[in-house]
Amino acid sequence: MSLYKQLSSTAFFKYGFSLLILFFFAILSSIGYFHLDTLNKLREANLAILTSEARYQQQFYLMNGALDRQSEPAIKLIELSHLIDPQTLSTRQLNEEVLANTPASVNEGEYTFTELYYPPNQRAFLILIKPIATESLSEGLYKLTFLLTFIGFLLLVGFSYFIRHYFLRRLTFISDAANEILLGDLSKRIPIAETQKNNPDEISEVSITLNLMLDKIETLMTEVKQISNNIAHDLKSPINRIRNRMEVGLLQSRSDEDYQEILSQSIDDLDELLKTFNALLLMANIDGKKRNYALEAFDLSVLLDDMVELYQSSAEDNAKKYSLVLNNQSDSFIRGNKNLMAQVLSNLIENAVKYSQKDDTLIHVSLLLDNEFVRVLVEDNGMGIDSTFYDKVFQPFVRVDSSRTLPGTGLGLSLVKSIIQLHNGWVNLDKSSLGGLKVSLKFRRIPTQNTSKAMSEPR
Amino acid sequence: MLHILVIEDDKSTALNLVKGLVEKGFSAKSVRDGESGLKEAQNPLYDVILVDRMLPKLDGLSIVKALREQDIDTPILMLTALGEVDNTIEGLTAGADDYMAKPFAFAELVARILTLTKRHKKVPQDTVLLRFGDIRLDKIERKVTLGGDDIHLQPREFKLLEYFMENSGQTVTRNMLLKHVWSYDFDPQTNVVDVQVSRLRTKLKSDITAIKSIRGQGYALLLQRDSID
Repeated sequence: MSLYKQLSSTAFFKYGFSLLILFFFAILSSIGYFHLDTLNKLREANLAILTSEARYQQQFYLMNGALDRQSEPAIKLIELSHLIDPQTLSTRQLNEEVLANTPASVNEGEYTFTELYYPPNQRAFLILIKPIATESLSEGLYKLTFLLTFIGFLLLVGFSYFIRHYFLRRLTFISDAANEILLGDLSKRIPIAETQKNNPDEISEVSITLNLMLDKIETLMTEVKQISNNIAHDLKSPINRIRNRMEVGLLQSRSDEDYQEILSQSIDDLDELLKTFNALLLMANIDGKKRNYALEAFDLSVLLDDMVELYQSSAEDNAKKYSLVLNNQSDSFIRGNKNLMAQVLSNLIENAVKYSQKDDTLIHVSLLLDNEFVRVLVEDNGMGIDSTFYDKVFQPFVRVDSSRTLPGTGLGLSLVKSIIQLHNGWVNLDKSSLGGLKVSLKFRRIPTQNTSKAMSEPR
Repeated sequence: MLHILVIEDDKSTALNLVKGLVEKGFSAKSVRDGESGLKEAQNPLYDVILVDRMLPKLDGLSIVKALREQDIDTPILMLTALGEVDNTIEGLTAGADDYMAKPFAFAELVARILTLTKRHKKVPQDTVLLRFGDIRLDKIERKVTLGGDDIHLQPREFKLLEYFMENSGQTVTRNMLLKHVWSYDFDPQTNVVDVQVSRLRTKLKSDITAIKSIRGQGYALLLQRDSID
C-alpha cells in the first residue's frame, strides 16, 4: 500500500499510467478494425496453400513414410481399410466408402475431406486437411497485446520506483533542507552522496550549486551581524564622548570661550561620525548598485599626479613625516568615476602613513601599463599585514588588532574594495619589497584616442 | 539684504536654519508644508528659496516644477536627506539650481546661497585682478603680491588663494576646498587640507589679512581686525 502510495504520488507514474491505458485501447481498437480484413486474407491464403502445398506434402509424407510425424499435422492421410479401385466403383459406392472411413473429428469440422488418393497398387487414402486456424491467430494477437501491456505496466512500476528512489527522493532532500533553512537553521545543507561529489549528476550539481549559494548567504548574514555589532560599538564611543563633554559642560556656568570650545569639539566629533556614516552609505550604494554612478573614461595617471601632489605637499608638515614617490606613466585611460578613485588613492596613501611606526615612512606609488590592463601599486615600508589577514581586512570594521588603537573608521579598505568592484577591477594585497604592504589595483585599460574623442563630443 | 524662504517641515531644522541665516545677515522666513510653500514662493520678494525634498501636501520637486512653469526663476536650493546622484539629477532637471545633501555644514549652505545670488545677478566672476586687504592676485599673470612684495606660490597654492579671495569674508569648508581647488570630491581621513592651508597661511603672513580657522567649520580669508562671528 505504501509502495502504491509512493508510486502513485510520482508525476511520472501518473502520466505513464494514463499513457499506458490509452495505448491499450488504441491497440484494441486497431485490432477490431483490422480483424475482418485479416480473417478474409487468411482464408484466401489457406486455400492457396492447400492447392499447391497439400499435394506436395502428401507426396512428401508418403515417400518418407512419416505420416504421423507432426502431432497435429495440417494434412492427414487416412488409409482406407481395403483396396478399392475407383475405376470399378460407382460414385455412390465411393461416397459410402469415404464416409465409412472418415473419422468423427472430420465431421466436427476440425478436418475437412478434400479428395481421395489412389497410389498405384496400394489402398486408397482419404486426404483430410486442417485449415490454418484463423481464429487462433487473432487470439494470439490479443494475447500478445495483453502481455505487452502487462510487461509495460511492470516496467512502468519498476521505472517509477527507480525514479522515485534515485531522483525524486533526492529532490525531497533539497526541499527538506530548504524547509529547515526557512525555519531559521542557516547552517543546514543538502546532503550529497560521497560518490556524487567527484562526478556529480544533474541533481547533485544543482545541490552543490545550492549549497555554495547557501554558504555565501550564511557568510553574508554572519558579516551583516558582525557589522551591526561593530557599527554599534564603533559609533557608541564618539557619541559617548560628545555626551560626556556636554554634560560636564553643563555642570557649572563657564566662560564663552569654554562653551565655544565644547561646541566646536563636539562638531569635530560629529564630523568624524558623519565620515563613518558617509563611508557606509557610499559602500551600501555602490554594493547595492542603487546609485547610478557615471562611469566615464579618464586618465588614471592624471589622477595619480594630482593625488600624489596633494599628499606630497603635506608630507613635510605632517605630524608624521613621510616621503611619497610616484612612478607614473601617461595615457592610462580607464572607465570609472574620478571622485571614487580619488577616494581609493586617498585611503591607500593615508593607510600607508597611518600604519607606519617609523619617522622615515616611504611610500611608492607606481603605475604599470600593458596593452590590456592598468595596474596601480601602492607600497610602503611600514609594518605590513600578516598574510592570514589579507582577506579579512577588506571586511567592514575589521581591523587588525595592532591597529585598533589608531584612529580610523575601519571602513577604508572595504570601501576600496567596493569601489574597485564597481570598476570591475581587482585589488590584491601582498608583501612589498620595501618591507611593508603592497596593494595592487588592476583595471581594464581602454584605448586612448577613441575615448578622448568620444569625451569631447557633446552628448 | 538677501531674503531667503525656507520650506522645511521639520520644525527644529527650520528654526535653526532661520536663526543661522538671520545671524549671518540674511532675512529669512520658514513655512512647514508644500502648499503654503508654493504660495509663499510666488512672492517676488525672495532672492533664494531653500526647499526640502520630502514635504507634506506637496513635495519639493513639484514645488520647483510648478514655480518654473509659472516662469518664476528665483534661485532654488534643494535640501535632502536622500543625497543620491540620481536624486540630484532629478532635482536639477526639475529646475532647481543647486542640491545639498543633509547633514551639511552651515558654512557651505551660506556659501552656496551667495553663489546662487551672484550667479542669478550675473555678476562677472572672471575678474582678472582680485584684491583683498593687502593681497593682490592676477589671474592672467598668475602673480601674487602681499603689500607690494611678490609672493612665490606653487600652482596649487595659487588656486587655493584664488578660491579664498573669491570667497573672501566667507567661511569655506574643507570639502569645498577639495572640490574647487583639487577638483576631486572625496573624504580624506587625515588633515591633508589643513596642512595645505597652513602652508599658504605662513607664506601670506601679514598684519592686515589672515586665513583664519573657524572652529568646527573650516577657514575664512578675513581682515586681521575682523572675525567671522
